[in-house]
Amino acid sequence: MTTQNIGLFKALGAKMNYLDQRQNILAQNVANADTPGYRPHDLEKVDFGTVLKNVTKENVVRPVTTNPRHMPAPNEVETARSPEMKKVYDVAPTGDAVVLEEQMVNANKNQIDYNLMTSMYQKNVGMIRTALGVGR
Amino acid sequence: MADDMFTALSVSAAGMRAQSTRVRVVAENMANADSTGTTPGADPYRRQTVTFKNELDRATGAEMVEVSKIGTDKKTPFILKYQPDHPAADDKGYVKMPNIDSIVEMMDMREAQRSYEANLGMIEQSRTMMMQTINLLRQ
Repeated sequence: MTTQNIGLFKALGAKMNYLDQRQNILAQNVANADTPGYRPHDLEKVDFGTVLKNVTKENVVRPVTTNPRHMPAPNEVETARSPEMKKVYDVAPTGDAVVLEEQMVNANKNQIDYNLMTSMYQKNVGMIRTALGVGR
Repeated sequence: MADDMFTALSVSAAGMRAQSTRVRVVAENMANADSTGTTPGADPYRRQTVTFKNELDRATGAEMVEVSKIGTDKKTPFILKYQPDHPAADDKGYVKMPNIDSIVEMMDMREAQRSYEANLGMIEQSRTMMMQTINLLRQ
């Protein structure tokens, strides 16, 4: 049994994956901060509560998706899309709407969340170790 | 999973490359602020401008940035300077000086510098996040 099969770890992994993707999107926004006509993107919020509920419910039969057109299993974490941001702080005359401060705030939030996730991961590993008696 | 993070690093690196090209162009402009022609009435050095465009990187699906064009500024008029003994002076004694305003160039340079720093900040953050993931293995 790997940590992948433990519900909570799976949920943490899903959230970390989401934060990874978001970091990528934010990096794109910052890189294109001076590109005329560029509109910033952001990942739409994933309802982490539902993901956690789906993922921690382990006693379900899961169909295997062998074709990309198959319907996803209910406890799979869907990948978040990155739509253009509708509300931005302001738009420059050249049409680029990236505000570095806004992006920096988002990136910092992202990093704090990531930090939280890795800390939780570590705490849980610690708990399992304690339960196993290897202790620390 | 860390693929996105590596992509984020290369996107930020592309941003830094684009901004450093911009700084290079500003440097060229500043260096040539006094480059005049040599024959009477000849045009001096023209100010260069940089335009960016976003470029979809097909391998990663990320929107990178790159310099789309280094153009010449044909709209800003040349500055005329009265210097009748200059070889490039016209019949009235005026020499055409390059259309470079050092304040405009400085502003441009500062903006490029700030954007460069922002990209560097993003790299630093992505790196920290990657290190946090790696640290999970170290217990």
